[in-house]
Amino acid sequence: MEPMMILACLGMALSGAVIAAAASLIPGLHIYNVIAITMTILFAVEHFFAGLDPMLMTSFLIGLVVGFSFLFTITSQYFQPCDDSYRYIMLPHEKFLFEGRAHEAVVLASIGSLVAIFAIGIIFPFFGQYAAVIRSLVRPHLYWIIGSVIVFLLMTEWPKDPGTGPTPLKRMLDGWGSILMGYFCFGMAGLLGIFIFHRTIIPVESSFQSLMPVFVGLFAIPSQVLTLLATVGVPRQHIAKSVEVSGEDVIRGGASGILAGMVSAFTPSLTPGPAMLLSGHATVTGGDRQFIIGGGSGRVMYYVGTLLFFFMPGVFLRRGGAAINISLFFTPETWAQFLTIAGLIVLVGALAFVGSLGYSRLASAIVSRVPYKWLSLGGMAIMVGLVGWVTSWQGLIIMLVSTCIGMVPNLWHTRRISLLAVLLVPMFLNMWGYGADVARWLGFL
Amino acid sequence: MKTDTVRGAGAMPAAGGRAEGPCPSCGQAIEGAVVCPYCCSSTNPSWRITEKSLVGWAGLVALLGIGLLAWSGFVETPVTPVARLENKGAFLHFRIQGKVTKTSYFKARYRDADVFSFWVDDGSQDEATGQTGTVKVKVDGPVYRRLQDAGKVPREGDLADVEGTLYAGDGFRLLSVNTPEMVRLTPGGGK
Repeated sequence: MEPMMILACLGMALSGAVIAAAASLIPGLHIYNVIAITMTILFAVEHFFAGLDPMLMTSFLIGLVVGFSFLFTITSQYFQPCDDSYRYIMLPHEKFLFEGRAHEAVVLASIGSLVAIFAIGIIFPFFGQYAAVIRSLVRPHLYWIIGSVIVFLLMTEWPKDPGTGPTPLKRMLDGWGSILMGYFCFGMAGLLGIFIFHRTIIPVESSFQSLMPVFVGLFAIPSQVLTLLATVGVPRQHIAKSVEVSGEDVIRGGASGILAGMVSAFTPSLTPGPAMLLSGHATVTGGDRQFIIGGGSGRVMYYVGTLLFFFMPGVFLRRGGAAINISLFFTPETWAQFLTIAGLIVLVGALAFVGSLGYSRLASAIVSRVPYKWLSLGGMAIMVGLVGWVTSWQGLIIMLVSTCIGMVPNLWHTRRISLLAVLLVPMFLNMWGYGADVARWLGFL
Repeated sequence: MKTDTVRGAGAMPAAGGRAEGPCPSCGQAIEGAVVCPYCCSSTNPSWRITEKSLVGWAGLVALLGIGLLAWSGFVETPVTPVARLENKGAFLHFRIQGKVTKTSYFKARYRDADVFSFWVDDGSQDEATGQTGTVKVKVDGPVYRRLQDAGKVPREGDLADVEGTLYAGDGFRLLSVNTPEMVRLTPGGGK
């Protein structure tokens, strides 16, 4: 590839990262929502971009994805404190926020992300060709692998009640209450997924974003609503100039994240959440630091590493919203293109790491001046507006239904991971070969 | 007396490895304790890494990225003899070199559906498969217009260096060009 073209691609990738930084200020906004807006604008002014090399727009989206994967959780971390009156589990980064060291949590997550970026830069260009072999080996077995993940999710649901009921029967009912509500969430989300996959009501011109209202409804809006209901305060945050971390934390946390990202890359419908749950068990990670580092690593490996497979000659694994959207206007072909994209990812990733240190300071300054409820209200308004703009009123209806389902885990102390049945169940059924039969039986076809 | 330890460091103030001032993690006043009583972080500098060091590590990763970008500037797709383009290479990227022997242009009802085709012959022959050294190269309308703008439309007699995606099946082989940069010509004085 010509040097000027490489520089132009770098410029576009950096522009994408800057846009990602601006968009990441909206708590709860997902990376694929921003890509949806970008694609909608791109299609609206298609003739303007027709004369441009598709690599430029691709580089812009790459910068967007890399920047977002580093930054988009930072604002959520600061602006969405955990109110333990309705949350059973306080995650490590939420605990760090209440201890005044959210910045340290951000730095730890960014270390994990940097480890993933380094792994992407080292592993993919030199050993990436084996990905085609792995894909060929795994492909015939995907249905039972996804089925096993479903069984694992259901098996690992546990009673959240402390067992303080006056009678054994009451204690048993209290214990089973949260478990059964978890299964209820799983079932409802699975039904919604089958409907979305077989008979969605999203207008055809917005069909490339048919999952957007579902995910905004299931995850983003409930988080914002609960933040609005929260009564806890965010303590003054300390900007740590150093973080406590050992080599073991970095290696164990980073490896569990990389494993999770790779597993989710080869298993459709498996997102970083359940993949991290699996890899955390497999690699026996322990402690808050390894958890946070693993989260940062897994997030980048899933969003960015998986995307790089799409550009790998002989592999062209199209997984995730970013790859699907890029494939609408660009067909990757050569090793030169692949190496350019890999180089952009690593370079922009390293810069995003440095940027995340400043970004955390910015988020800390904002949360100390602006009430987080206002930030959540603003974020929610923007997301609802986006869903309406991209997917019309039909999308808003789906979002409303999804929100009702998404509220259940928060109100009955079950895990939100059950909501991922919205992808797991239809994909499992489709890959098993019974998806259409079940959809027909349910009256969706 | 042995006290609570975090990685071998005593929780009580110690003579060595003690941080001065507040806890470096949470900022609480800890009176020089080696383990913060509020957040349980070690204040021993040897267990901590500074932001400056991390920025240095990020700089090394950035160098890796620059290296990959520089590498991409030197990578070229190897030339494959046309007779070696087989079914098993379908949907993969190939580069061929040869003489343009024929051109054709199909004007469709819709502008973007126009198709420009040309045939490249490199004179190769595969005895085992019986395949010849001629292959059809297809250029879709939008890419063709960019070739026109760049003055790079192949003509009969030109020497062409073409890269594209191979579509191959029983009885047919086709190389599809997706970007104008994948067509390089040495004019042969053709028409």
